[in-house]
Amino acid sequence: MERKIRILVAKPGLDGHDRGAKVIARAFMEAGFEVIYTGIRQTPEDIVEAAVQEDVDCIAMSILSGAHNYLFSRVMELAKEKGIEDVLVIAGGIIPDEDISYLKSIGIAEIFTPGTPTSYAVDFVRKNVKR
Amino acid sequence: MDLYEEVLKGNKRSIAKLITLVENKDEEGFEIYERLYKKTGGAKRVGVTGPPGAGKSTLLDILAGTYLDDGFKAAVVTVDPTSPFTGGAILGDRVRMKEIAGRENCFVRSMGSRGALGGISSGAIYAVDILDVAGYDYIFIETVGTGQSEVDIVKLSDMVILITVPDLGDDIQAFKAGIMEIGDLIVINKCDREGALRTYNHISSILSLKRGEKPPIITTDCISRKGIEELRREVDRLLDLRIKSEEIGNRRRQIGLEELKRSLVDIVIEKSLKSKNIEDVLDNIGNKNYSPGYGAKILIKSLCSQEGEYDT
Repeated sequence: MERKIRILVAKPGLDGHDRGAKVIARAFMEAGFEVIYTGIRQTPEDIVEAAVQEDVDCIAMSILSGAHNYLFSRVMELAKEKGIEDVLVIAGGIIPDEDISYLKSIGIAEIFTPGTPTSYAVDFVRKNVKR
Repeated sequence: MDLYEEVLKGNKRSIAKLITLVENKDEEGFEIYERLYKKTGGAKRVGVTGPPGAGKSTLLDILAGTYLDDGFKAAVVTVDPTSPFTGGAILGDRVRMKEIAGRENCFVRSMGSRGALGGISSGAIYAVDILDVAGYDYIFIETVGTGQSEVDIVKLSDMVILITVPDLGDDIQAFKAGIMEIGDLIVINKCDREGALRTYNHISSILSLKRGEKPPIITTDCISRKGIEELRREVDRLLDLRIKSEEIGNRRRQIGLEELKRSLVDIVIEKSLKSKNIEDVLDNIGNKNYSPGYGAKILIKSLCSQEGEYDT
């Protein structure tokens, strides 16, 4: 039986605008993924704990608040601590170009900024999940 | 990593991994599950069902929280519908479980229904067994939002909570066979809404005609937390009653029967569809030489003759 891709869609931090997260969650569902949607105001601890219990193949984070450098690096730290560093981590939202190289250096596999077709994100996940 | 030992120790990552393996029908996963299965039986299993939007997840967040507060380990296995068209699913119950999801003694797992029609998937049942041996004292199983006939949950748990809300339909709806019959405990949630008393009266008048033990009806409101203490008390009382009574043996035997039936169907379908006669049978059905029912008998016959152990 084909193994289903399980993906966590979460919004770290305090911004409450989740339209983008919902659109991408829906696109992942249409692609046949099982999407664990956790919604807004998630701490990095919440996100990593959910990823462990749900045994996801990918964590997708959406953020608009500008706190991405801090929150994402905390997620990556905790992922390592909990032994799930093999999980693919991607992100999207309002993220300035000059932050992207830093975020990639801490292990975020790809950053999807406004205007990215959802199919591009879906293909990226399909090609890059490690398990 | 030795999954067997780690699951017994309660390692969350290993529990999660093993659930994924058996959900995907992985052979190695099933071997480990089979060894663990012998150790099941320590947990109390509570099924929670009701229509979409009734507040099942929200209520569970609070109810399971009361057990965590008392020092128990509690887990929730929650099922949401899988799309029959894409195979994908949005599993959104975690959104409502913010209070308990991150707590040390809690484990929450979301699962897709993956084609199961009874409100619960076979993967969910394996998950409950795995959480049982991992040391969780209370395991809550939340079905997909149910309509009228998704009653499988009753065959899989020690007790069932049916959650409904005010004014979903008139008294004729409460009158029908099916889902209204399976609750050992009935909760009318969102009782701050208009019509709560009317719904209470409808349900209690219908239940007054029921034979045997009548389920208690509790009204709750998750915002003000009205009725939660009473709910917890009733759940404890009913579980206690069940476990002390002779009935629990029968019920567990019934659960065994249901699981056996489900596994039989899976095995027979899988083997039959692999049969070399399948195309021939389909042609004959297409040409109206015989009905699908007759075709099924032919396939079963050929299965039995193929393998000695499937004796008629």
